[in-house]
Amino acid sequence: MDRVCGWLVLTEAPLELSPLKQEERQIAMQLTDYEKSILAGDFGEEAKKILEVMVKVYEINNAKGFIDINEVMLASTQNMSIGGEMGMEFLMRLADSGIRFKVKTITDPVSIDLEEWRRLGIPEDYAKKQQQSVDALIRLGAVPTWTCAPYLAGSIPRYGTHLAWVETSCVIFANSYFGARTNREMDISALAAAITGRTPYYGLHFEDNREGQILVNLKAELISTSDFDALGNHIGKIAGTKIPVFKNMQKNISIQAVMQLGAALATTGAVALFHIFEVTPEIILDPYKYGKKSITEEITITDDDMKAAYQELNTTGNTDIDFIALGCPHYTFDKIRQIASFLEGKKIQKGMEVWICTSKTVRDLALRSGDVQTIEKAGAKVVVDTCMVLAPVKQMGFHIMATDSAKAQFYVSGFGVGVRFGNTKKCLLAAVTGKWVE
Amino acid sequence: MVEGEALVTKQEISFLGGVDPDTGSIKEVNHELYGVKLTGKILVLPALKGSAGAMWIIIRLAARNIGPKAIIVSKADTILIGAVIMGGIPTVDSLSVHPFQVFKTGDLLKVDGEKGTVELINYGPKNS
Repeated sequence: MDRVCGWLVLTEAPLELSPLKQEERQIAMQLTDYEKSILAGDFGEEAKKILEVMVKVYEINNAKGFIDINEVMLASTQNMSIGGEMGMEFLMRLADSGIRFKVKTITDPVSIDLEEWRRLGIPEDYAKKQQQSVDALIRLGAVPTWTCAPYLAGSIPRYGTHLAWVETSCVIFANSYFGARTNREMDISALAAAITGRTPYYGLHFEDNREGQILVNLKAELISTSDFDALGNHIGKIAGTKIPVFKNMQKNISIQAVMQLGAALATTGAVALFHIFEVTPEIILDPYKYGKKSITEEITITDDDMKAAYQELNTTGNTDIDFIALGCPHYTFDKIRQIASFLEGKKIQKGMEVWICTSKTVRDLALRSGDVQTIEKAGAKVVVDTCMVLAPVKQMGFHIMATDSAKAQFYVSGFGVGVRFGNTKKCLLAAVTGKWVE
Repeated sequence: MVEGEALVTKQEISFLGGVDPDTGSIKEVNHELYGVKLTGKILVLPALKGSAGAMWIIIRLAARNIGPKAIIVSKADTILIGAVIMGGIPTVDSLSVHPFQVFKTGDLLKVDGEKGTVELINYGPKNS
């Protein structure tokens, strides 16, 4: 490629459009009177901005009209650790405008346990600010699920239904496990969907864009759920935005393992969908269309590849662990029970903080079954509404965290806390012995 | 329209966890730009990766003037579109060439987000 000064490169579709062109296009995309009124500023600056983003997302993706959606999921605006005060103020002004959500809108975790933030050591002013975002979202009409596993808390998408979900581990899970259809939305496009009840029709809403692209042939045995983290972490780097298809994975895979695989794929890559032969619905219905026709690349995963995948996840040699955090994504009831049976009659080492993260819904169930009491008697905490990724763990003074989640490993390392990655049992052994054993 | 120095990477970036929201520098340990500041640069990259929370990190960097002043990306996903519109960051995508293959760190570029053009004004000191 010749590089000459003054050389100009053009794009086919500019991200910013001139005002006149935009008006013409708004007519072409058949906006409703309500949407036009929001764009005219009748509901304030925030709602106007949200719809402007929707229009641009439509144009840039060459959407084929709009599609009505069944459910919206919001993620990061309300978190003190991500949206921060800007996100909080944005939500408060939006709620003050009088606009309300038109469809069911569920919510990702926030940065505190909404009821028991004090026992986690979260500063009071931080908790109060967080509560303001929560109140704003509830005023807007959101369902206060505060979990990254809403499908364990009553929001179960039906096969083929259209969603506008944000949390990347939920997007990939809804698409792959349920065969529902959502693009990887961000909060502003999801807020547009919540307000209007529809979303631009492009990408994964179309059946033909859901076929597998990379075949992953498993020649390794996957046992613990963190084996699925390591696999997802490794494949996500190769896949980027492509759709992986897994062959020879066990048919009796647990729901937690599928959650771990998806969360990891959506961390090191921008993967929004995967298929597993004989497990996930689209490929069961049409193995040729989703698993063979469009494959352009094949990878084999051996036991050696899995060993290397584990090594990639240990970015610190320091094993002076003071924080053990499990449940990313939020644990299932089965996993909580497994933790309880391990910890029964044991004690967490002094100076070690242990969090088992889940939703309020699952915690309530585990409270009735007695599993929460067993875990807390040992000295660990069953934490809800938040997790190690969203709570301010660095500011809370933790130095080295151990976890069984590849997603948590990536983000918490990025916040400046050293992380050791290992399976659930290894993490729990460290919790009761005080020693990390490789 | 914005002029500035290019900072080029062939690796995707996760703004959540991968970029320090207080300093604007890359903090993903295994990233080729580890430790490098994005502040005031024209960031040239293939795509985003990871959490949708990236959107707010980019908006917050822009609000404090410590983020990139323009972005050139192979293909903008919805997360980046939201970020650059909310943050008011001139951005172009879908160029007729792969931007991270033709532009080099240090090149002086002019980005016109409205027309969707990138002009190479001058080679970087090491790139002529």
